[in-house]
Formats: sequence, C-alpha cells, structure tokens
Amino acid sequence: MATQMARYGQIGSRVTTLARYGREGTGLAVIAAALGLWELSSVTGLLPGSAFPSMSATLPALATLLGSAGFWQAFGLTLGSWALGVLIAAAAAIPAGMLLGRIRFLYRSTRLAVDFLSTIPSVAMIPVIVLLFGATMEMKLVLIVYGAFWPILVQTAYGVRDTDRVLLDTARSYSLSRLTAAVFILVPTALPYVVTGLRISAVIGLLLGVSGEVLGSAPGLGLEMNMAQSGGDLPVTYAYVILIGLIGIAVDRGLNQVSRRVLYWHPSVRGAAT
Amino acid sequence: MTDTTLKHSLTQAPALSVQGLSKTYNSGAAARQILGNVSFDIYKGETASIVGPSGAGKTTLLRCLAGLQPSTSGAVYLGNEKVTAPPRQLAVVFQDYSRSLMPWLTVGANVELPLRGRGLTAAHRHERAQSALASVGLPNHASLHPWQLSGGMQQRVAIARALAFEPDVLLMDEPFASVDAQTRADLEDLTHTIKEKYGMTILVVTHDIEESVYLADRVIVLSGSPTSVAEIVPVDLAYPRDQVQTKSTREFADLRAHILGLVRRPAA
Amino acid sequence: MKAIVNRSAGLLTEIWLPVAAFAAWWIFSLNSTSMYFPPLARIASELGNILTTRFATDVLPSLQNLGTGLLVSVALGISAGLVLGLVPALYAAASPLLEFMRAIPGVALLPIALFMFGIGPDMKVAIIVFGAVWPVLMNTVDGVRGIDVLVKDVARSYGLGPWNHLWRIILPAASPQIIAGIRVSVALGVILIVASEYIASTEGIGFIELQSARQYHMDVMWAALLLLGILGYAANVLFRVVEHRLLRWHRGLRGTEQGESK
Repeated sequence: MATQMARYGQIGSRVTTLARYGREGTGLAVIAAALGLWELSSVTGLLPGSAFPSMSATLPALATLLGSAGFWQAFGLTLGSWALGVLIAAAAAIPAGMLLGRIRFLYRSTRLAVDFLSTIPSVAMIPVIVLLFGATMEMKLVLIVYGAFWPILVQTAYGVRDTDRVLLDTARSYSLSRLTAAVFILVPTALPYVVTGLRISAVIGLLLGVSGEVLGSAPGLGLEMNMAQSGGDLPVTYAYVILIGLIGIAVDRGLNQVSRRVLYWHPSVRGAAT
Repeated sequence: MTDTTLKHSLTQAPALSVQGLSKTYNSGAAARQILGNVSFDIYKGETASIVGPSGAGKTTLLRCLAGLQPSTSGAVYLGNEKVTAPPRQLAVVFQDYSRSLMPWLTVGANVELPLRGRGLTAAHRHERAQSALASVGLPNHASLHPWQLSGGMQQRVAIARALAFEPDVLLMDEPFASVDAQTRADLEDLTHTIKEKYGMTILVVTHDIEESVYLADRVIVLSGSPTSVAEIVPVDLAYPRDQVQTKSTREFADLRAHILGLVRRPAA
Repeated sequence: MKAIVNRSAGLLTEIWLPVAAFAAWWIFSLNSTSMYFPPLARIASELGNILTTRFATDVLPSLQNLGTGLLVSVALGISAGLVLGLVPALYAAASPLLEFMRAIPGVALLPIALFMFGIGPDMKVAIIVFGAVWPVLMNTVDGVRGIDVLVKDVARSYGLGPWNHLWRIILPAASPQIIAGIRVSVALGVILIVASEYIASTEGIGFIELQSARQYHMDVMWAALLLLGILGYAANVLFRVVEHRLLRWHRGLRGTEQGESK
C-alpha cells in the first residue's frame, strides 16, 4: 500500500487541493443547498425520522456542543493524543526507516515482517490493548503509535532508497563528505516521502484515535458520541459526526499547507503553484 | 597556437592516462564485455573528445575515468596517482542536468555545494560561486532555483559548479545532448571560452562527430565490440573557432568524414 | 548454478527474521503461565479450531461482508469517479461535500449506521462502503483528470466512439491511479469489517476476538487476532498479484523512462 502511495499519491497533488480555494464561493453555496435539501427531506419524511434528525435540530445541538466545556475537554483529549501519538510514531519511524533504507541486509530481512505487521488491521489490536491498558489515554496512544508508525517507516525507507543515481554520482565525483551528502542530498530526497508518510499516518492516527474512543471507550469525542448514541440522542450524535469530520478536514488541509511550504521545490508542488 | 601547445605538451607526463582498461559486466555465461583494452593519454591543457557509436560504453568509460566505477582490468592515472575513488582534481559534468542539480537548492547553493568541507569561509565560497556563474553567463541567477531556468541555463549551472570546484581535469559526459541546436552551439562556444580562461584539461564524451571535432584538439575514436580505441585523430583547426566558418572549412569536412568512416567500420 | 545459490541466499535473507521470531515466540511461550501471553502452541491449535468448527458461522460471514462491501465500494467509486472526472463543473460543485464526507473517519459512523441499519450484515456492508469508497473515487477522479491531453487528442482524431473512448482510453489510462486507490480501500475495508464486528454483532472474526477477550480466553483472542493479521496480509498479497497482471504496461513504461538512456 505504502509504496503505491509513494508513486501515485506523492504530496498533495490532489485535484481537490488545486480546485479548493478558487471555488470557496461555489462551495458555500453547495453546502447551503445540501443543508436545505437535508431539512426538506426530513420535513417531508423522505429521510426516516428514526435514523435521521432534521437539520434544524442538529445545528442547534451542534451550537450547544460548541458552547459546552465538556465538548472542548473531549476535543482536547482527542486532538492531544492524536498529535502526541503521531509525533512519537514519527520520532521512532524516521530514524528506523533511514536505517532500513541505507542497509540493504536490514531492509530485506525485515521486509516480510514489516509487511505483515503493517497490514494487520490496527483496530484488531483494540481488544488486546484494552486488556493490557484499560479504557485509558495510554491505550489510545499505544493504538495510534502502532498504526501511525508503519506508513512513516515504509515511506522513509523507500525515500532513502530512491535517491537518484546521477545525484549520488554527483556527490561522489565532488567528494562530498558523508555529512554534507546526507544533509544536502539524502534528506531532501527522502523528505517528500517522509511527508507523504506523515500525512498517511496523520489520517490513520485520527481514525485510530476515534476508534479507540468509539470501540475501546477511551475518553474523547468518540466516547461522547457513543454515549449520545446509546442515549438515543440523534441530533447530538450527528453533531459529533459533523464535528469529527470537520476536524478531519482541518487536519488534512493543515498538513497539505505544511507540505507545500516544506516541498516548494518539488515538481508536484511547483507545477501547481500560482 | 595549437601546434606549439600540443607539441610542448607531448613532452610532459600526461594529465590523464588510461592504460589497458577493460570492463566486463556480470560473469560466467551472462558476461558481457563492454570495454576491451582501451588505452590513451590526455595531455595537460588540451581539449580531447571521445566519440563513438551509441552503445559503445562511452558512459561506462567515463565513469571508470571519474573513479565512480571500478574497471575489470587496466588502470587510470591522474598525474601520477592511480584513480581508485573519485579524485579531488577532477570534476564531472553529467548529461542529465535536471537530475544532477538539486531542485531543493538555489543555483548559488548548488554551485557552492562541492566547496563545502574544504575549509573555505562562507564568503569565499560565495565569491567563487559568483565568479563561476559569471563565467558561464549567469551572473544574476544565483538566487533562483534550477527548475526556474531553461535546460541550457541549467547545464550552464552544472558547468559553473564544476568550474568553482577548480579541477585540473574537467570530464563532460554528453553535456549538450539534451538541449536544442542553438543552445548547443552556444554551449560549445562556452566550452572554448572556459578553456581559454581557466586553462584546464577538458575531456568531452559525445556521440556527435561534428561536436567532437569542433570542440577538441584531438579526437579519440572508439569502435568495435568490445569497444577499443580505433584511432586518435589530431585536429589542427585554428583557434578561435567559429560555428559557421570553422565548420565550413575543407579540413573540418575531411576530419568529419574520416571519423565517420572509423565509427561505422565494423570491428576487425 | 551460481544464480541458484544467489537466489536461495536472497530468500534466506528475506525469511530468517520472521522464522526466528516465530520460533522464539514458540519456544519462550511453551511453559508460559502468564494469563495474557499463552503458549503459541495453544494459540495455533485454537486457530485451527476457528478455521474448522467456526468457519461457516464466523469466518465466512466476515469474508462475505468484506467482499460485498469492497465490491460495492469499487463499483460505486469508479463509476462516480468517472462521472466526476469527466464533468469538471459537477466535480467543482460536489467537491466541498466530498471533502467533508471523506474526512469523517469511517469508525465515527458506526453509531449512525446502527441508527440506520440496526444490527446485521447490511450495517457492516454500509460501513465498509461509506468508509472505503473515497480512495477509489478520488483516485479515479485524479486519474481521469490527469490523462495526457495528447492521448485524448489521438483518440479524438481517430474518431473513437464514446464507448470505446471510455473502455479503451480513459479507463486504462486512469487504471494505475484507480488500482492504487483500490489498494487503500482494501486496507480500510479490513479495518472497518473488524470495527463493525466489535459493535453489536454476534458473528465474525472480530466478534470472536472481542468475545474471547471479554471472557479472558486469551488463546482464542490471540488466534483471532492472528487470523485477522493473516487475512489483512493475504488481501494485500492477493491484490499485489492482481495489480501485477493488470499494470504490466505501466511498469514497462516506467522502466524505460527511468532506465539508463545508454
């Protein structure tokens, strides 16, 4: 999965990203229309009231949530453990990936193991981790770190191995020192891959954080949503889903911005600029 | 002028000496010999070109000369030193400028990069990069990125990087193969200018016979399979050379025809 | 002869670590009395047990729901992606909604899916579709929009009809992207089937895992987890084989682009 992304999904050359800003106006209109359609469908009974709250019930519930301290506390717990988890994963995976990328024997020896461990559906770890750590922040953090570790590792190793032969020849023919070559050639070459890995991991980290809350009852937005659901409170449940979706968008856009800044020289970014 | 320099040079030790170089890829049944017993000398201050048909192992030969790749047998000497690793007194300009320049560095930083770890101050490095960029006609481009320049300009940057390195011998691997005809002519003349200004020994690898004659004092013609030196052709065309005049002389046409015959001739 | 030696040396480098790890796990857990980490030998026999006695009741439903969910995701994702990719105005209008929907982590929709579909296979398939359709869809759009103008011009100048144009030009040209998207969708699908089996379910490998964890049957839990891992890995390998066959031309093209010019 990861090498594939390295090829096709490198950095945010997504059409969405390109189209995004110029169309903010149309976007708002479309969202307004969608909300209107939602309301209309609930009022006319097109959407069953037992499963769908009306828009006019959900948005006030959302506003009330935004005004409550409980929401912001859960928000902090979700986002905090996400950020910390991805950070820990990156701190471990980047050096490890560089080692794997540089040392052929290590890369080949660990390939099957990495393949296997990274394709285990990470939510399947939840029952085990809950048994070991309970329904706690630590549990959620372990889950996020486990899931976020692999994409960064695989991408980093791939990036380090992908260094252009002409660049390596250039470095050698000018007798660059190991340090100079590492700083000016290896790291910049690997950087786009590391950034791609970080972006995949950030999304997976968020998914796993919410999974830890919804499925493993760790404190955070997912747990709050679960409680609203078991209380049968449709509007609040939907409000949580909307808010979690908005967090997802914010995370994606934020990372996209950062990667554009860092990788301004990369073909996929410089072509899309202006 | 050429005559006297050349005769003078011939009495000296060669700047670069290739002795019985051969290179075989793989071994056993899959073995493929690319170079077979290639020998020649390059003298200090001369411009020599190596020409041969495509697939003749020109790039392999250059990589062996540059110390980027070991040969199977034979040796390369730079001055009196046997080349086993990329030597300090030698710089290479690669064909693929878009891949040999680092897109994440500015033009200036690209040129300065090889000067790191040489105990130069930042100001000194900067100054040398500037003067090299000026020599290739890009005095005001240091703060741009390579991908903001045209292909010909990018190759000038690569040449400037080699100049700033101040090598004794400059190796160029098909340096102008990826640019358009006009740019190519400009870059060929730039090579003459550089040689005049810096006085370094230049060895150009090319598949273009006209270019090999126009650029060089001597043309080393490769042919056969495995490749060996068919003939070393002296080029006594006067300097300064001119794209139109030099190329329309009788001598030029004769040399071109002679080399074409050598390249096309099947191995004996 | 030498080639054979080389190849077996290569194989050895690849497998010594996994083999050693399993051997170590087996040996060190042989006399384990730890509640959480039972002997691997017992886990293995439980795994065999799941695969025989509970295959029809649990393993098969998992595979079936996963397969259905992925099939629907792929069909829906490719067709919607083609339409959105070919009609830029439609894409521009839909993109804010698409961006929002695909940003919702699939697991966050479990509560809603319960409201809508109750407990049962429908809920599981729906969760997979909603969570896994996006990579296929977005990659199809990207692939279609990224097709070289020259390729389109050639197709038009030869007067290919719309059907041929779609089947012979657009879909093949976008296929590397589409397949990359499906690969991500498969990984997401496996995650989502497991997640859906944790919530209000009475069958499936995920259900076995959670149930045995709750009853402290750790050997069964590890066996289920191992099975899920094998399943995820097998899905990945299977997919790689399919991709390998489908994208032969693409690899060849890349090979010549990247290879040495001389």
